[in-house]
Amino acid sequence: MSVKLRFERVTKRFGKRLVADDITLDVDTGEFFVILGPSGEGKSTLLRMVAGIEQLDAGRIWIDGQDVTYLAPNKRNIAMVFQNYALYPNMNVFRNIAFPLKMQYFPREEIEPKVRDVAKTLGITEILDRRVNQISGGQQQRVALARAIVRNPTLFLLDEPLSNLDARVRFAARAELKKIQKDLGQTFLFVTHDQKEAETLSDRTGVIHLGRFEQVGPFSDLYERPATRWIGDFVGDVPMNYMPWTESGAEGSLGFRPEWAEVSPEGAESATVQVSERVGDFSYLLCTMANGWRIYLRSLRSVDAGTEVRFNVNRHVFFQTPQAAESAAPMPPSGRPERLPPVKP
Amino acid sequence: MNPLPPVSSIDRRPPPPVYRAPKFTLSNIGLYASIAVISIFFLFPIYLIFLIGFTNQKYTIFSGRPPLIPPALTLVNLQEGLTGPNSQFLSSMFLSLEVAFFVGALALLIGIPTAYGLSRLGTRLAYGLTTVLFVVNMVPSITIAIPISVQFIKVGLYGSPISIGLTQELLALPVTVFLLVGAFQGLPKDLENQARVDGAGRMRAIYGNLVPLILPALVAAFLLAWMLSWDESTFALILYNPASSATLPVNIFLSFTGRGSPTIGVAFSCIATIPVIILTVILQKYLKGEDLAAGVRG
Repeated sequence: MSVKLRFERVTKRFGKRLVADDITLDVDTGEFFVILGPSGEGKSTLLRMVAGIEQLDAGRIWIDGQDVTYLAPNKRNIAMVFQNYALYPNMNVFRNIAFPLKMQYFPREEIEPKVRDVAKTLGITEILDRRVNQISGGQQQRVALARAIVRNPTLFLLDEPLSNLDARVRFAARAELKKIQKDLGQTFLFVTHDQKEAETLSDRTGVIHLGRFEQVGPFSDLYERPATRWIGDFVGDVPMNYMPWTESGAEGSLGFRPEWAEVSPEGAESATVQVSERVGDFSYLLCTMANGWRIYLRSLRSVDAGTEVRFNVNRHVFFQTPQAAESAAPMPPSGRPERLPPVKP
Repeated sequence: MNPLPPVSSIDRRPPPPVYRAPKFTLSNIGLYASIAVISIFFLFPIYLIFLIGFTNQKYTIFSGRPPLIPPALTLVNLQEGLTGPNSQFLSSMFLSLEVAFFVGALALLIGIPTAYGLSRLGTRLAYGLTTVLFVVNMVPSITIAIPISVQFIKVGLYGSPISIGLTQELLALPVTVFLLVGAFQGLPKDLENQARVDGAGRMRAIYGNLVPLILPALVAAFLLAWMLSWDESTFALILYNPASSATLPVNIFLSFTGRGSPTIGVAFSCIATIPVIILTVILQKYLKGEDLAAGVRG
């Protein structure tokens, strides 16, 4: 697999705030890469730097082996879908989709079939004549997507394109987006703060925190083998549970997910239930351990507050105490090698 | 690639509320009374001007107690102004039109790029710089007009329409820029970014994608600049070269101060409002900026 997009020691600050701190990352051709992180962590800024509408303070960005760091946005041949879709309000749906083709000086008779084609694919043929403020949010999202797809770019940048949709529409749109990416076979770089989107869409996910990729890998790795306690807390419905632990002579903490522990009367550990919360088929038990640490457990039955429960931890990950934590982590955080391998377009 | 099923339209937003004037009832009689008072306050001077301009002199300026309701209307004053032997009212009207359109067009030509640039600077800096532009408007016109006239005499443009227009532009430009900066700042930044990513160069993005969206502001800016020039008399008077014709306000002024009769001047003051009204009516439909903010959710 060849490298489609490369961040090489990219640094960006807004005033004193460091939003990208020496980021190095390769995205492969045809990959669906999701940048996941809490709000205000500079995820969108990364995307905007790839698009060329935000300048880098240091570092380089490569697309297809070409250094595009100082290339104007209109010369990069990428498609971008903004969070608010940025549909042109003075144009109808047809002209919105046709715009990128017009900018490439396609003749009129070639534009028409191309637009109709992509509109048919996205199921928006009937609204081609509408004004963009006369269509629903789900339709607007599809128009924005159609405008991105219409000129066959090889790199798609999507900035939280699902966050403005109703919950029900969003669910369908998410599945469609994945299907579109598979059908096109092109590289998607997708920014979101919603880990469900990362989980369902991504081939690989990079979790960004304090301007760095805290961990990069398949989403299941982030969940099963978090590199740091921060990842353990951020990924998952509830934060990871921790207990003080010593493993092969190293001080640290043991981390486990609620479903990795089994509540049973013969359990080795004990905790007092504070709150019991019913979620679907089971209950989350927010408990306090003897040392005061709070943990989440999962139980099939509801348990009254104040009851003492016993449990066994069947699986766990081990985090060393801060100084050495990074090196002992099961998955290395985004590496910063001294020398990068050559880029193969 | 297989087609996707159509997406539902059920989350369409409700139509915006329509403004309706309050019904006339006893409870809001005060509202209507105050509207009437304010209307009379503003319209009465205009009525007086109309009265003087279109009735015989003997009922108005030569009468000890001019009647508020004219015994008879006449076009004599107007006729004399148009056909009188030394009258320059017609030519001065054309000169004024020429200068006003020049000022309006130039205000947009310079104002659009200036305002775009300022709008990309960040609110505080843009606001500061726009305020600096108003310095010319803060200084009394007369202190600027005389040195400028000297310069125009040097280059041989004294009294020409261009010299009057360029000088009036000093007053019009800050106002248009101020208006357009606000309009550009009101547009979502991502619209321009989207256009750039979609392959438009910077110029195409500004003039093809942003400028059409601020059409109401452009029309308002043009109208303001146009009217500012149409009314302006200080610069026009200082730059008035008796060898050529004067703009309409200058001509009206001159008719009060010696040349011609004051009633003709008053009649033409009334006529001077007509082009303003026509222009406003023609451009009014662009002043409603309906639906322009839509299409961008967030």
